[in-house]
Amino acid sequence: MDFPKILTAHMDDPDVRTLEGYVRVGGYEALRMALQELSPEDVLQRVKDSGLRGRGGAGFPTGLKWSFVRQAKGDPKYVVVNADEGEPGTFKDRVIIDHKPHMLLEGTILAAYAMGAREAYIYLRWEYPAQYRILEQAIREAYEHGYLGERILGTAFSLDLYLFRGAGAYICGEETALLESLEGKRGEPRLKPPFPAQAGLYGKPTAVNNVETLASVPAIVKHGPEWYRSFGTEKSPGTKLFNVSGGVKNPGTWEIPLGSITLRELVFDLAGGPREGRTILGIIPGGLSTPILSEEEWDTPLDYESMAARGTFLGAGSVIVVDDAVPLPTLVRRAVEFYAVESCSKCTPCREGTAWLTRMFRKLEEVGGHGEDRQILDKIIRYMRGKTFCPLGDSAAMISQAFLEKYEDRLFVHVASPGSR
Amino acid sequence: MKQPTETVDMKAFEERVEAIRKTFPGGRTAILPSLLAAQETFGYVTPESLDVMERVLGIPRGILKEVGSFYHFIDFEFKGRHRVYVCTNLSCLLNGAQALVDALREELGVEEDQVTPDGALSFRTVECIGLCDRAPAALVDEEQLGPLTPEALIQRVRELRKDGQGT
Ligand SMILES: Cc1cc2nc3c(=O)[nH]c(=O)nc-3n(C[C@H](O)[C@H](O)[C@H](O)COP(=O)(O)O)c2cc1C
Ligand code: FES
Repeated sequence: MDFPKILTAHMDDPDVRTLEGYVRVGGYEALRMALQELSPEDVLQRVKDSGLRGRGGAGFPTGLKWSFVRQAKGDPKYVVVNADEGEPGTFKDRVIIDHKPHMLLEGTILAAYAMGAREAYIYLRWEYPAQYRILEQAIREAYEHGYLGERILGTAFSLDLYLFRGAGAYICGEETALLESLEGKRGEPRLKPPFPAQAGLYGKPTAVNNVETLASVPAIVKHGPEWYRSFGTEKSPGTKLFNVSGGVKNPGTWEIPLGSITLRELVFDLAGGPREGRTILGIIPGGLSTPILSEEEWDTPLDYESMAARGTFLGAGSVIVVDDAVPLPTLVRRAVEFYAVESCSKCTPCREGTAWLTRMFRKLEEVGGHGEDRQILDKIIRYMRGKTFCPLGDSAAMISQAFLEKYEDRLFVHVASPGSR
Repeated sequence: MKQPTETVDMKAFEERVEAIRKTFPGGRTAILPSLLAAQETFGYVTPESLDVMERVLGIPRGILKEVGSFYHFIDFEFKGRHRVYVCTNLSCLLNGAQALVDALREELGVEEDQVTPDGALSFRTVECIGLCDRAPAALVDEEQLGPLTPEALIQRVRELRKDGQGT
């Protein structure tokens, strides 16, 4: 693959973590150029034309979201950086913050400029203490050098950036739950509409964007949308970070133009394939909440459309390789247990459904499955699909269904007849 | 970690909550940072720290508790001077997380979420902490560790217990 690295360029240079080091490799040039030569509308147009899609999981067009916020009535407007990164298997935002925190800040400042926001928040998960300190330091540097605060780089544009720490709750990665949490409440999702673009933080127009989305913006503004579109596919332009972990030889992070390689190539060629003496049973393509793919499905290109055509999602690009190091019933029980633990308990189908799924899969794990268990599981899944308040519960049902359909033989191996335990 | 009763700490904590209130003037936004500050200062959200927050933020403790209890990493009870959070989500599970948990249980002689008799620490299994490329991973207080062997984790735990005896 021959393409210039956008997100991961210079990551092997520890100096790039500092403002000085980042500036030395061309950092903040996009911001300087934008503030001096481009109108906010121009910046927004570039992002729109680039076709950049949200990297937090849903793949929503970033430029479109920004134009909603820009046009929305209401003042002030806010930019909120979603650095909650709670989807199991995902650590790409951590990699960005670890190595290039200023790239995130630059993208955030550009976003605020494009939308006319005067305040921005970074919502960072509690589980990232080292990253908290890195961001704290980066924000301090940015203020000191005039990239944040009053009259940025001597222009009329001003922005304050606040770093806010979560306290452990996966649901707070969901944008409206995140806003509730930021407002000092329990992190329960809000009913949509209104969407955050209309009524977000403190009821004001708000753009919630993922770390990687914002980190992609400086390069787009600097080199232009055509350049960005020359990587990736028509509908999934640009490059994206992919995380690979689990039952694989070389776990890690790779930047890849969307659609340029398949899931199999990522796992086998880049991440080294199966571990010694182990067999890969399936690959979860986009974080725990995306349905697993079995061997016949691994030749799917890594872009939003190809994954959707397979009935799964590119998600956050967080590949979890499932091998036979742990019995599959144990692994699936642990997977659904995550949703039971993290359910905010606001809606019944999710609260009860995730608990029942966990109980049923624990039964398969501990005493094996009876003929009837499959029907009970199917029924729980039916009662959950499309009926939960937010996608958390739906994901639990959806991934359970994929495990059941694709690995029935392994999940029901020790079939015992009723009463024979 | 110092003694919760030290008035010096309480004074410093009050100043911190005051500063947080000024940073986040938007009403309740100061709640979570203040709860985390209490935890950082006293090890958990003590009744005395709630008094301070009620007074400085002007928010009743019922609300502070309602908010705080939603989040996994906020404790309203003493959970030891140190805390060990072992990730047991998929990538860690596939890389030996269970062996870490078993080793901790054996070393400490306590179950999940129980404090060791010397008050040094407690452990807890947690969901993905975003260190999947370093699985199996754990957080020891605010230290991100991985990949871990049971031996390495136990050694770290022993160091922590020794530290506690010195102060
Ligand atoms: C249960 C749940 C958890 C989520 N967790 C995250 C997360 O940790 N980080 C993130 O960026 N987006 C997460 N999202 C997606 C956000 O709701 C939102 O779509 C995203 O932050 C928008 O940013 P983007 O358009 O730049 O991707 C989550 C969604 C759901 C339903
Ligand atoms: S699964 Fe353990 S850190 Fe992600």
